[in-house]
Amino acid sequence: MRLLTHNMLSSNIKGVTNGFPLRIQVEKVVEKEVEINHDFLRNIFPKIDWKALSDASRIMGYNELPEVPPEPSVLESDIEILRKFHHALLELHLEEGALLCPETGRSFRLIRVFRICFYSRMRFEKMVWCLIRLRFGDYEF
Amino acid sequence: MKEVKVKDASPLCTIVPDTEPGIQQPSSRIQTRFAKWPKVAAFLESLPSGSLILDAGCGNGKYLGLNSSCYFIGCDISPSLIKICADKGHEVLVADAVNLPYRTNFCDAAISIAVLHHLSTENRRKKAIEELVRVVKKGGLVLITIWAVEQEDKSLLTKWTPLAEKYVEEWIGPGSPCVRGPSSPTLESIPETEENDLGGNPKDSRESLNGNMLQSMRSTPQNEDDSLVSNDGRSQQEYFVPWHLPYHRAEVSGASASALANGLAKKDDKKGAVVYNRYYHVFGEGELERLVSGMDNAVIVDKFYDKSNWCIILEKTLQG
Repeated sequence: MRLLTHNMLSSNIKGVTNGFPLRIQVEKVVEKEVEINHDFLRNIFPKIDWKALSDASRIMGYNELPEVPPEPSVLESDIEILRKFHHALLELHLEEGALLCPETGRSFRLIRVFRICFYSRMRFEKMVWCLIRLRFGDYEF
Repeated sequence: MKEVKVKDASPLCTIVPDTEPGIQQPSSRIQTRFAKWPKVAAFLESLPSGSLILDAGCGNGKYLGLNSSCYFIGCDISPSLIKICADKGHEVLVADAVNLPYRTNFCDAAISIAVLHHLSTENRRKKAIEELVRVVKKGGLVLITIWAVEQEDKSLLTKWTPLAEKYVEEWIGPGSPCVRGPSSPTLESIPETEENDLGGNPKDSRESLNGNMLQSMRSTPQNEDDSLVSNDGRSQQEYFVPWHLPYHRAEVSGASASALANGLAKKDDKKGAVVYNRYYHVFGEGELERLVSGMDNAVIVDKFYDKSNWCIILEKTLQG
């Protein structure tokens, strides 16, 4: 799960008034380089909750992102800040761990590659079973 | 915390090829799932570069990454299909279309391709549309496609089981679950999966099926096409559509045994497949517009019929 995705996720548990951002519990982080696209970054910047991104990147082990969001005009000229934004947003992958609802503390597991399971309580047990099967590599397909 | 640097030369949103050569795809249903619909592709290609796009009900992910200049996020009720997407490198998760785990106003566009017809009550279908509109930004577009009552290939209908009849036989008659014990199997809408992954809260399905019983008994507008009108002259919209899982794949996944035992699937020895019945509420002309007519934060910008599907494009007009 990239932090761009994390920045868009919100807990959908019934009754929760503010489910964003989900708290990250890290078990495994992988860095994957991807080509930088300046236009894409400038377009996506207004959507990003900077504090959530900054905090999340620190939890993932990347401390380069400033806590205070840059001005949009800075993004036009400062390639270095753009590169750091790119790295935090798109190149850090939470491969294993969990996301926690900020209000209820309810945990949503990530397992293997990018799998996040949001489920109502009724389905949670079934989902855990499916995940365990995957985890121990006995998934037949 | 283990850190590994991996060089990924692919552009932002290209699909990573599936690297498991042993996977076979013998089912024609699987082949259908990989055919990209030109109208959907055109919609996605028309979106501005750098758009954030949600595919709610993404299935096996055939539309994820279709526009390589955009960032795609997908979700589906089926863990098996999400696994397929995840293995291709997509940003996906398991979620219910009527309760999307995303922030309000976050994406530039959203698509819902052949999803709403699996939701068994009007309320859930409406809620799913409201969720799609909620997550797009003001000015953002939503494309929805669903199966039409007015099918181009009428011979398909002979293979479908109209739900009203099934209700009469199994749900209202002497064998009805109203008189059966609590251990009787419940009909649930089966998500697109090759495993016995029956999604849906059983209680919710029971209520929704009862709701549908009443719905199909109410008078609905007469359909001009006689083949779609049931014996009493009312328009038939609820169906079970058979989905075939070949025996060898059923054995490999090991998932169909309990479905067969519960009566939720049947064996077809002629075709050598386990047959699941998937619930569809096919939409009549104007029904999709009627569903969105009450919304105060979206307007219809396009509507059309294409390949036996009713399609609609909404634009969000208000924030939130």
